[in-house]
Amino acid sequence: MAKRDMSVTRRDFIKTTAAAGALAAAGTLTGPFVARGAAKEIKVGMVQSYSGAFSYVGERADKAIRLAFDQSKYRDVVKFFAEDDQNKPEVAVEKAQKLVEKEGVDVLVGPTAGHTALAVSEYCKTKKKLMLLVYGGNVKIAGSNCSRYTFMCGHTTYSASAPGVPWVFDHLGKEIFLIGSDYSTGRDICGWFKEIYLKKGGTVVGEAYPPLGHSEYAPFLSQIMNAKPRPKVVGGFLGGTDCVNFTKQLAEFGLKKEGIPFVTTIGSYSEKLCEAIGDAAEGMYDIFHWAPTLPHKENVEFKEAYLKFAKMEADDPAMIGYEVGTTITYALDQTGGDPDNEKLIAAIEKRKWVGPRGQCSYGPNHVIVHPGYIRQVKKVGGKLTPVVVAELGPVTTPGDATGPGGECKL
Amino acid sequence: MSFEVFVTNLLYGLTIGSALILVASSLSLIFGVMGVVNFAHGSLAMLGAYLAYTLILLKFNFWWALILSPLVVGLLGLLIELFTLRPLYARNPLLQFFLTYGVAMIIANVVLYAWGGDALGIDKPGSLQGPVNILGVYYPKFRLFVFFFSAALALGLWLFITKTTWGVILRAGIHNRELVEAFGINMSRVFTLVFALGSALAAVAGVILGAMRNLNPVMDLDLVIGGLIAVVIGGLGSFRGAVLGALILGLSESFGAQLMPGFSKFTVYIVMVAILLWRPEGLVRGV
Repeated sequence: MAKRDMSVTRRDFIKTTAAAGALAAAGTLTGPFVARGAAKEIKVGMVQSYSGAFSYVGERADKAIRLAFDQSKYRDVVKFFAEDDQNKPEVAVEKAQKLVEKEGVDVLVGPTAGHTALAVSEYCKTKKKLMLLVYGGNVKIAGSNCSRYTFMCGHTTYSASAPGVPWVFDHLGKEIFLIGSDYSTGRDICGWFKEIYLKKGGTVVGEAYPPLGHSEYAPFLSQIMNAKPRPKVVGGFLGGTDCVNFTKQLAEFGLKKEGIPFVTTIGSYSEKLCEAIGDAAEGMYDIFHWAPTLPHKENVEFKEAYLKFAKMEADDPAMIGYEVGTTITYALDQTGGDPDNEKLIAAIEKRKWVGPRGQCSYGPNHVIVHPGYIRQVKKVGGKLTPVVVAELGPVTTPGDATGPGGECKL
Repeated sequence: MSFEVFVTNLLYGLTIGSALILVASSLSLIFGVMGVVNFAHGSLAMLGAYLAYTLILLKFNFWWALILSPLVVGLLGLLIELFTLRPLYARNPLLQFFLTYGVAMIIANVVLYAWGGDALGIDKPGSLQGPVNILGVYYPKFRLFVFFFSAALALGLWLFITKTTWGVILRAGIHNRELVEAFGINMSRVFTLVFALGSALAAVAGVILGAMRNLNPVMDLDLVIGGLIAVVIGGLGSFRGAVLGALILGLSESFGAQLMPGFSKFTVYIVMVAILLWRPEGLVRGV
């Protein structure tokens, strides 16, 4: 009996020694990390679209935010909470309430669509809770509804369109036909195009606002073909499948051959969309703040890291998600790992960095100031991709983008 | 409206209408013979488009994809009829509708899972790229192909229904199933074949419309709604009605978008409501 007991003890000893060894080894890895004072748990809540039309934004941004933390010293102390905003403001606010009031998250990453982002931003204002937006590019959050607690890390309809219009006027033609999907984004962007063209002495030869999700553009293309004078360029905003159909049909009707390009905005010509359009996309333009082909080190490194981490090519939602993630980890570095929101806000306001987009900072209305680019779809290594053909310098969304009286007062 | 704009809209309306004929006539045929409102029809068309996309990725050319994809979808239609619809014929017709709705949901999710949510494109054959000049209007060659191809297929279907023995059985079955069975004809087999043929035709429409526009996981709804409206306008179960309904739908969409851009999504419905108020049974009676 005694011998048996002894045998068990020996086995236990070996087990215990092995476990202790493993713990010791782990300790050597985590030791310096703990010593840097990052042991406190950081709770990051994400209320994004994980279903519906914007699900690809939520999913890709989610992975990129996790990547940013994975690359930081907070990788072992961060706890993520992810909730689907279902693209509905009331659901988004409810989910934000759950994360803030029940789970006690330190930082919130906000909803994807503009109207849901505005609703949660207003909620965060009352709770004094820091929120960073990946998309949610509602110009009101830059202006009349701006908030000390909300930072916009992505583009808005304004920053990804209006700053590029003067370049379009100077380089592509003074006579323009405007086309935009018939909802606020399409109409706002065409409005900015029109205002800038008229101010510079150009001519708007016609305007068309097809319904969102329209498949057939022949009637609108015949308007363009019959406009007098003949436009040199077609500009405005069509996104997603609308952009696919319009671009294909623009080429089919011979307008591309005639040298009349389409300039869309908000980076409509993503690599995925170009693939769906095919050769008809080649030579078309858009206005945006990033391109996968940007050659600087930070962009190349980000793309490689994202591919390795998420097992998919980086795209715009991933890039902005990464910027949101690095903004939070940077601010935590500045506060010594303290998630106190006032301290984090002070740190973020001062942040100046070179990211995948280029040189960035936050403006006085907490909207990102980032480079603007004119991109043209070209074949690079046999693959259609948007390539930067002109740099617009730093662009942002001023508080009064929607007109006088909409200024931001934090 | 200038002459060129008028011709462009006319051609465009006829093209869309002719592609819709394939969806509407097969939908109408299934309803006429089997009494089933097949809500999965748009989904089968969508599946056809996605299968063609994959076949082209696998180095088949467009024409092979246009043949093989409808064959696969036709076979799937055959299985759907045999294993899901058949047990429900003797029951409340609403159950068949809900069943096809469920099949539509399953196909939509399979498409989303297998091909993702991003828009995709089918490469058109090189010989059908670029425009041709018709009465001073540049019109895309591929659209002309869609028009003539759909018209030829619809004509073939019409001849099949009116001139062949199978067509006689179909027409007789629409009027009186029991009587046809009394002649020793196995109507269950006819049902299966009609559903398979209808599914294959829907897939043909999916492939050509997918190549003309793009592929996306919500295209099924557009197709089934378009098909249903055309059938309702033309007259339930009527082949000629489906053809007429599809052409009216195409033309009202094209001229509606031109004349009332802000209301272009509604013009089709306005036309449908007007026709239904005028002739509730649809424009055409009989096959």
